[in-house]
Amino acid sequence: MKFKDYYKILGLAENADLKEIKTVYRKLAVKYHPDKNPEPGAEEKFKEVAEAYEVLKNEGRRAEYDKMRRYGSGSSEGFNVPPDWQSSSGNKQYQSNENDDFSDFFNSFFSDRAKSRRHSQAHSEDLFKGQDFEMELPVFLEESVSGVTKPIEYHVPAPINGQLTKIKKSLNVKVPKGVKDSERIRLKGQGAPGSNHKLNGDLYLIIRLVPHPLFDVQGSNLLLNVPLTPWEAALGIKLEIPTLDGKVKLNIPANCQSGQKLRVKGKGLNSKSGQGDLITVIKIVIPPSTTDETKQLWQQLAEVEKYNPRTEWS
Amino acid sequence: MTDISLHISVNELCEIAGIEKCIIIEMVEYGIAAPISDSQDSEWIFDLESAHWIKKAIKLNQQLLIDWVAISLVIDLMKEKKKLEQENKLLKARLNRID
Repeated sequence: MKFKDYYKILGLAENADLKEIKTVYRKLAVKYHPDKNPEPGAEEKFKEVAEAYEVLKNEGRRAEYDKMRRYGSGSSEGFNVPPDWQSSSGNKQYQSNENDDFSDFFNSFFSDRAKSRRHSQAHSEDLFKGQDFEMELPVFLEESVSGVTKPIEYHVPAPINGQLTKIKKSLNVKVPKGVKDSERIRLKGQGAPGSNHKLNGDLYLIIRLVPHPLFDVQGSNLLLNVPLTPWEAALGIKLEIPTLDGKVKLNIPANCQSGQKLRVKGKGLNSKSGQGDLITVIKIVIPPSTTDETKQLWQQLAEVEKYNPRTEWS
Repeated sequence: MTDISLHISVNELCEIAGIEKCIIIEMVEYGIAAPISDSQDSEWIFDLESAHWIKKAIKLNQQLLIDWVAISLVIDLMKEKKKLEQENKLLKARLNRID
C-alpha cells in the first residue's frame, strides 16, 4: 500500500490550521468536482482531495495520521501499518461506513468496517449498507412501448475473505411499458452486498432509448420525416406512412411546404400526460438526376410559374 | 424475475442517504425536489428523478460545503443543462435526417 501525503495533496504546511485547510479544500473541491470538471483525471483528483480533507479536518484523525506520517512517509517501498497503531486507534472512531470513493490507504486506517475486518471481530455496530450502483440500459423504442424483459450483467464489489472482490451478478429485469429516455428504474437490494441482506445497496438502471431509424422522440410525440417529390408536394398525395404499430393512411394536401407538419392523432407514445401523436414533417426532395425530358418540363414550368420565393430580399 | 420500483419513500430515502427527514423537508421547501402530489399515502413518496436530485444535493452539500440556497441554484442550473442537452440531442438527430 502506498502512503498518501494528505498535506502535499492539499498543498499545505504541516502546521496549517483548520481555517486554512477548509479554504484550500473548498477551492480544490470546486476546481475538480466531477459535476463541474469533465477533464480526465479530475474525478480521481477530487476523490484524493476529499479524502485528505476528511482526515485533516478532524483533530483526532489528523493526530493519528500525523503519527503514521512520521512513521511511514519516508519509506520508498510499500507502506505498512505501524506495529502499535491498532492499540492506539481504539479511541478514534470514524463513524461513517467504509467509503468506496476513498483509497485503500484511507479505508485501512479510518474505516470502522476495515478495522473490524482486520481485527476479525463481528460487532453489531459494524453493520454497513452496500453501495448503490447506476448503469445504463439500452432499450429500443418498440420495447419501451410494449414493455420488455431484459437480461443484465454487472459487477459489484463484495467482501470475500476480508478482501473487496468484484463479483458478477446476472438478473432479468422487467422494463415497464411507457419508459422514457433518462428515466430511472430502481432494483432494491441489487447493489453491492451489505453486512446483511436488508442492507444491500440498490441498483439504478438509467433508460437509454436507442435511436430509431425512422422516428425521433419529443416528449410523448413521435416525429417522422415524410420525403416528397416537388410534384407530390404541389399536387397533394395519399400515402401510407409507418407508425410504431403498423401503417396508416395520410392525406397530404396540395401545395404543402418543406418543413410543414401534419399531425396523426394518437400514434405517438403513451405517457402519464396521455397518448402522444405522430408528427409528420414534410421534406421535399429533388430527384438526384434528370433526363433531357424532365429538364425540359422543369424549363416549361419555370417559364409559366412566376413565383419568386426571395421577395423579402428586394 | 427481479422486482423493480419507480418510487421511493421519504423514510427509505433518509436511510439510503443517511440524513434526517427535516433535511429532505428543507430541500422540498427550496424546490430541489417535489414529492408525488397524487400520492395516497400519508408518507411522502418521490419519483426516482427527484430522489436522484436529492442525493446529488446531499453530495454537493457535503463535498463543496455550500448551503441549501446555493445548492438549490446549482441544482436548478444542472436540471436546465440536462434539459438543454436533451433538446440539443434531439435537434442534432433531426438535422441529421434533413441532411
